[in-house]
Amino acid sequence: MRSIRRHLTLTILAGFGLLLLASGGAIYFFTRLALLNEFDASLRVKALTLMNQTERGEGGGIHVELPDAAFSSGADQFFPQYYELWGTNGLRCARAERLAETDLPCRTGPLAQPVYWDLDLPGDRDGRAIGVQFTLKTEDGEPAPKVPTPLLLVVAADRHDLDNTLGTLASVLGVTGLLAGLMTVPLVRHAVRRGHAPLGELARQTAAITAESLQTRFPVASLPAELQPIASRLNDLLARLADSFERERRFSADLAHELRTPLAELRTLAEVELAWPEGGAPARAMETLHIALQMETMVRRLLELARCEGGRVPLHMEPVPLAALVAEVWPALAGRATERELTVHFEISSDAVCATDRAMLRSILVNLLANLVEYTPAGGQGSVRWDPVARELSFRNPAGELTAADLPHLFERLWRKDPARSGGEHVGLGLPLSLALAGALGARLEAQLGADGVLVMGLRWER
Amino acid sequence: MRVLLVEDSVRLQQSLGKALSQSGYTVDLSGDGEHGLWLAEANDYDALILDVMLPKLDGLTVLRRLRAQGTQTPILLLTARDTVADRVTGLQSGADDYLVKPFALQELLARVQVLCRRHYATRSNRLALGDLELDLTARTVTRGGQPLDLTARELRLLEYLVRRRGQIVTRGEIETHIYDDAVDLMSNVVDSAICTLRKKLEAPGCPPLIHTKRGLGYTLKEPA
Repeated sequence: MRSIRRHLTLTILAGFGLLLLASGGAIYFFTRLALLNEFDASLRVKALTLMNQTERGEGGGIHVELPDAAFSSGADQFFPQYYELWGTNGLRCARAERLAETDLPCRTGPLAQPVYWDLDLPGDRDGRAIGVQFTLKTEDGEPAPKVPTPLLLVVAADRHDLDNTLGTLASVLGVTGLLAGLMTVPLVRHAVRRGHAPLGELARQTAAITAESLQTRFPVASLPAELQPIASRLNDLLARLADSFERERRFSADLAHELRTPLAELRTLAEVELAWPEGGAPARAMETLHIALQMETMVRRLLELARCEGGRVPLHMEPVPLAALVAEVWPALAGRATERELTVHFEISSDAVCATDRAMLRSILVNLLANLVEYTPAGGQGSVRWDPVARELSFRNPAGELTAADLPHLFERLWRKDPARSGGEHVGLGLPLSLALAGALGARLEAQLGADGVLVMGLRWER
Repeated sequence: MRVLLVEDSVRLQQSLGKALSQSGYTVDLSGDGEHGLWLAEANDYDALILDVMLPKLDGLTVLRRLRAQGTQTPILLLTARDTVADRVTGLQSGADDYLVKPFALQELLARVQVLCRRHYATRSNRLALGDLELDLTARTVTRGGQPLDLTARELRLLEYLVRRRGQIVTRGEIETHIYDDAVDLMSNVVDSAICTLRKKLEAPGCPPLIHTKRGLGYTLKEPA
């Protein structure tokens, strides 16, 4: 499994290692360059000294005047230990005694651009050489006419000290880099662990959340700025999850109640009848049938709701005259409205037509009208209106005991205002089913409670 | 034994009311919490059967109010809620027992019987006084080994007297525990019931069990 902490640690360590290597390499490179330049400058000084000490002998030969002590002391600053001088014709004019019979390679350049190179000196010693071409001058600065020009001079020096210095530098850089690298490992690990701690804590708290602890909230203010948006979103998500779980729990409890109560009625009815049989079998059978029908209605509605929410209801869209459909549905409810002394006004123009699924819209109308009839206080007034501009069919009735706090629950499955859930005619599935059907039809079903205490259920078609 | 059943389902009310009556209980029925609370406060019941989800006032509130008033009547909660949390809440609110719907009728009756026994601090379903024996489960009575033929109400009266043996039981107490509201309590129904019970219990040669305390009531005593 990928670990951010491990990845971060390895990346930082690798980066730091590369940085150390690059820094060490750069220090070594530039220091070596500077030391070589200094060494080459020293060689150049020696070559110039030698050039100045070169003169024409009385026989026309080239003669180099150098004090022997300077060559043998080994502490020379100005006089070369190894040198060799040639004429342009390739004949050697002079050579340092220390070279004995060994010749130095002859690679030269003009005085302005001398040639430098590394070479092996006698005695298996590493050395560095400078090669220049120069012309002997007379005392008054004019070129000596009888001497072939130019002369070729190679001066070399032992670079043992230089290599020792560079070796020491490389060792110091390597050991320092290694130590720094070793010390960096725990430091980086500690820093990453410390920096990673809030993330780890957040992960631990998240992992500890279960269905039973959805009330947990992350302390956003105390978290680092980078984690605050995550914690904030997690808190929102938890709140939504808790709300969803609560709804599911409520639904399960309500469903259990809706099923358990008629089951208890059926069972008790049967057991009492078996224990103390009496006459009146048709009445008992009617009771049993009533309970069975009530349970059947609930199960059927739950299945319809599941089908509708699952998008498994086929649509047959057609132009449906609304006034005619309402007139078709109303007679089945008119009796109950009369019984409750309700007055219901219908304000739907005869030319109001919607392209919709007739059967599904009928089902919505039955539910909304049944609610209007059932929940309007006895003797009250309700209305059904069609607004052609807003394309909304609204059902208005006095809300009775319904409050604004109840509105969010109106479309929840099995929700009922009465916490006792007494009576089995309305189980709280009509509105959720209507909402799902409206969604399938591409319409919106909304509930609003006016300040005058009138509940408005609006079924609106999008244009 | 007199029990109060508070249940908003009319069908359950009717069925359970009949079952309890047939089992020898005097039953009062109520369909909502407010009325149930009023009945429980106004009468002395041997047990209460209380639905949790009730209109007007829920069962748990009724239960808490009764306990807050010091009512010690055993209470059985009857509900469709079956989670552990619901049961714990019910029991912690002062319920003596908890039964989840749907339930076996025999279990409900057995639990009500246990609650009534607890009310009178007895543990057995068999009551005895001298050579008189009552089997509350089989609903039978014998004296000297001979079975007696008692009606359901006579059996309830005898059970009540046996449970309160040695104590003076007033007419009012008998009326409260044995008769429901349908009986005209101004009549001499208690006296005539005691008279009938005496005749059945005290056959010629048998020592008397029920004694009249003039101006006070009746007492049931084991023969010396």
